[in-house]
Amino acid sequence: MVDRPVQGKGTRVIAGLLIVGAVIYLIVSGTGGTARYFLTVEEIQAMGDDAIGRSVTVSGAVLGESIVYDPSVPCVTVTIVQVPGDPREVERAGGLAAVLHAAVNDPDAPRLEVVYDDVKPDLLQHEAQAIVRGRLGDDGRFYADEVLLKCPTRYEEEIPDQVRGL
Amino acid sequence: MLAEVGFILVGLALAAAVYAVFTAFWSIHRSDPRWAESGRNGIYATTALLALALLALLVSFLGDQFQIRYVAQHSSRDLPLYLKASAVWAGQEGSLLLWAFLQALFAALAVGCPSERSRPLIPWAMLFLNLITAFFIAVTMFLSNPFALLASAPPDGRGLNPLLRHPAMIFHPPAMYLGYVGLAVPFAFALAALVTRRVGDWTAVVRRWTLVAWLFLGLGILLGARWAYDVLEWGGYWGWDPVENAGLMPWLTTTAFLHGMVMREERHSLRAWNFLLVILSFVLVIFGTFTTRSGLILSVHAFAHSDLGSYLLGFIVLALVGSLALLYNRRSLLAAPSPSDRLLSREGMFFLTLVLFLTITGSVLIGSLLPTLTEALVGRRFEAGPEWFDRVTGPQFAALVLVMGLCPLLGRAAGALRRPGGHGLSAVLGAILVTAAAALAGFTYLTSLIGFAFIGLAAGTALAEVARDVVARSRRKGRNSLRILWHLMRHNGRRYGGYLVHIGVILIAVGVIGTRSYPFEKEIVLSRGEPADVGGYTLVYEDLWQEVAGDHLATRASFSVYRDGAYLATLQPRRDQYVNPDRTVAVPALRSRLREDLYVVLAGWAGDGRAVALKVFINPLASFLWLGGLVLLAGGAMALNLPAFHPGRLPLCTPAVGDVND
Repeated sequence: MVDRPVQGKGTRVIAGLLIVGAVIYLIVSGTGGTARYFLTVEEIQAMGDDAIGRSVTVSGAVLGESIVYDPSVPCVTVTIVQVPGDPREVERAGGLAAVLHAAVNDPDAPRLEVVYDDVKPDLLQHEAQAIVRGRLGDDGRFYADEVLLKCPTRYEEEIPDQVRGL
Repeated sequence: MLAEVGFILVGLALAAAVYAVFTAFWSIHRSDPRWAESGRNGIYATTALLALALLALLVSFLGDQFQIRYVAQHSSRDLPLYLKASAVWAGQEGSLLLWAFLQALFAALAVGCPSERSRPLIPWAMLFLNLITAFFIAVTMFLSNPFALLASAPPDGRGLNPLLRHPAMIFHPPAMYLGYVGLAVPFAFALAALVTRRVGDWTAVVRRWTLVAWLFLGLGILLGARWAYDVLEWGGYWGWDPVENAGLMPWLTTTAFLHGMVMREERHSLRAWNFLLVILSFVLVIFGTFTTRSGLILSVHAFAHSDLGSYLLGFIVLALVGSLALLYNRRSLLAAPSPSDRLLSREGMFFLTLVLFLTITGSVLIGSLLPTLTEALVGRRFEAGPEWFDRVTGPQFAALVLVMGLCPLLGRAAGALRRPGGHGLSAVLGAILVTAAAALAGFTYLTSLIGFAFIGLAAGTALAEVARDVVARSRRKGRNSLRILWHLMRHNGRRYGGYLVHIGVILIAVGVIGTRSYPFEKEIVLSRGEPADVGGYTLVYEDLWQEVAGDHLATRASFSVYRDGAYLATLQPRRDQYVNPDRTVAVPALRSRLREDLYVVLAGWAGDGRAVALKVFINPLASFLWLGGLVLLAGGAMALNLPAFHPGRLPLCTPAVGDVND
């Protein structure tokens, strides 16, 4: 009887380690398989042809005048402008609202045309922050499957202005 | 005027809380109960002052005091009265004030009614609770003052975000905060038990508090999910967003703690685990608050960046390092007196349950931090989307359901498998029946069928457990089995509440498999009078009209829904256009049945209403989610085992008979 508990404990530790090992495998393979590169407009353009066809997430500032919406398809095209990806850099530049405002008024900032075959989200407005998930096409345009938007200038609420891209 | 009064009240509350901290410390130092009594009064005063401050904020909202910045940001003159009231917690400043108030209230309740068991722990628990309360008041006062004034009062406020104008959003934040503050109570008592080396039965002291916190967190999560489903027009209910994850993680660790507690009481095992889980739950609450406010997590859901981050981080590090160091220091007290037995035993299954809850929590944490982590580790930012979370946590949740099903098959006696018989049979039957039913209903993907088999197994054993008790008793007493069941549920709430919670989890799992494995989404454009087939339904667009409804303009489209030529329903999705703030919100139309939900969003229309664009979602088995959520909450409430109400006695104060073991 003396050795049983010890044996029991060993089995348990092994079972626990097996679970943890399996979970680590799930996380690593999940990251390889489904996690996306999170890029800025500048970074995706720097990647050039390497970026084509890859599933990535890009964030940028919405240029209001560029929004074209055809509700009969439905399809939206919009240009987004480079904003820094590092939150600390955003903070140094005076916060997200200031960064977005500066971006859309900078004619030299890198830009990316986004095509979204879907209904135009309500929050797709000038100076909103867009986080688009999708792929870069051969034509240099970005084909988004999902668009997430945030308008930091208007509210700072519990559930801030966000919709999951319609 | 109101602003000054409110701010002064918060200041006085802070003074009272700091006084309570010092008196609590002094009472321990001097072992003088008079100081403890004075400290208790200090925390009562804190609670009362914060209640008055909240009242001042409420009155400011009701009286359109737009010179107060917070009121101007979240309200407007034409907002309905009940929404003005709920706007008190529509933003960070008011939320923190509410949080501080609830924290003080829970501290007052927890130390206000000591029982024989809790008495020796109270002085230290009081000290820790008062410290936490004082921290939140200080944060509200110095970093996030809801009474801050504008240079000049604007004529009208900016209005409440239309997305928040939903019944669930009125109750969701307070429910979450009640859960969060509730978790501070077991945390404080756990530390008190470690400091005083009275690690014997501290879990009995905090059991109800933990359950209350767990219930409120669960209710908050459920309301949040329902809100997302009704309001966010994406046909989903859970997006693995960092803010959602922040609420889920402490709920998971608390669920683990509730299981660990049972083992501690039954076998005196898993002692150190319980401390660890309580500490983690509390730290995860603060961590969630931190991540959503610090800019650390790049999320569209995150709060605006504020200075709060660094203070919260300091608090987290202090709480985590301090309590873990204390736990390590007291490790000799926590060795299990009875050595553990095999894996294939009730205790072994509980151990696996805890491990799984922790690995799921760890996975969610890693997923939430993935951009930050991968940037630090490999220099590139990766982002974890919903697919990542589904893929990583899905198998772990499935394993949890399996363990839940296996556990009753193993006897309460140490070691061996129960004699093969009733339970094993019902487990197998359950698995076969549920899988067959799912396959016949058209859910035929292999992975989902495996999930359904696990669910059937768990449902079979849970029902067999209940049936066994009922049959045995009704044979013995010769009474109607329904009456026996009712009697058992009333007098053995902890055990039967537990079963009910498991059944709730099983129902939720059915809903999750249906909605996650069989999603259907399609955008269509419809011309008036022309039928269109989508997902097995036929939709006929009939009419589009606009009407002014209070403070917004509603554009409504009307559709008839048919299936196989038979008329089913008329759906009217709409879009509400608000002026203040300038926002349009879609209100989906829903036809909900057990088999599936038909969820239709009005996406747009051609100028004169000749044609409309729709987004159609079909969410199989979605009703099971809400049904399961309600069953789970009912089970949790039953497990509270509250005694009958006696005037003048707080229900949480009275230890129930059989509180420790039943």
